[in-house]
Amino acid sequence: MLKGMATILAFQLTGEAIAVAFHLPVSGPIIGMALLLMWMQRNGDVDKGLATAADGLLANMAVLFVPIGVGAMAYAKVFQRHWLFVAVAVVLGTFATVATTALVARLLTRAQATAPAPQT
Amino acid sequence: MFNHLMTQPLMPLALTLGVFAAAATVSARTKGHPFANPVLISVGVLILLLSLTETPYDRYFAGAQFIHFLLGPATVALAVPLFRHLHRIRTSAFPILMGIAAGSAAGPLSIILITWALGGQEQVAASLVTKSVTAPVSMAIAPHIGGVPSLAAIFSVLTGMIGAAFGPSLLNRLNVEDHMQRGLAMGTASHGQGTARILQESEEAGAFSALAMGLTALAMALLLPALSRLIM
Repeated sequence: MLKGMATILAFQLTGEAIAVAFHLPVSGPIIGMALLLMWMQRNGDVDKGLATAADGLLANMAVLFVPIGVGAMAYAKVFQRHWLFVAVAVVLGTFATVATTALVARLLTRAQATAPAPQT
Repeated sequence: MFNHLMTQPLMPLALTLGVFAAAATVSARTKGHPFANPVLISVGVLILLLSLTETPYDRYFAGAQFIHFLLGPATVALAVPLFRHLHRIRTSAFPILMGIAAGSAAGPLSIILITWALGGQEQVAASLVTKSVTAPVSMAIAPHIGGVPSLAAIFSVLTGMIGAAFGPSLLNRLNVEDHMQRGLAMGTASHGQGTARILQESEEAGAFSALAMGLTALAMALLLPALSRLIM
């Protein structure tokens, strides 16, 4: 578990370092995620301690968004002035994205299932 | 006394976890009703508490940052479910990539349409365009497209909350049952918060959500600055 956590932090640190060094607009943790995936693929297995640490973090991931969510209180003025625009944009924009992604993926999955697909 | 305790990390930490635990109980009692989303409730209750006690956000965050810090490691940890489901990702690469691409385009396009329809303010609109990607990424993109980083960050968080709360019921209504399609939609639309929510349904859905949030962030970071330069 402790070793697993250390592994995760090491990959995050590497991701941050790469993001800073190459001025990448993608955040360090996302690069760290990609690197960890490649590393596990190379090993062909998930280390037991790493799995424990990762599953523990992910099981409680939702609570991690609370502190930054409370930060919305600092923008009361913007919300007061533009509330209708912001509310419509956030709700409809999010629904449009959810629906489009799911429906396109479903359509193409069905197409792939019925067509004699080339070997992948 | 409350104010004194708020100056130490313990109070904000205990409050955040305590309120969230209570909110999670409420959510479970209502069988996961969208309006009873634990993050939504916790954020609302905490904002109310801080306003009533006149506690500035910075003071709260000085303690709560220890919870916030774990977001980075949790994002890295998403590689584990991704790895476990690599097989299906490989065999369905085409529908996956096209779904993510279509969703990533639908988000900004819908913002442009809504801005045009409602006459939204330009700077607010530009900060809304990147709302479907995680806050640190939307903050980094915002200045390149005429947005404000801090606003872009808060819109990302807001989108995450709305997506996490209402995304699954929207998917139910569209009869999307497949874990892969549900995960992709949640990750593309509402990044880590959507992923955290859909992980509760299944690890498989969580894996696809993680993949989608990573690719959406990458696509937006690479394409949006270039596109906005073409338009402006």
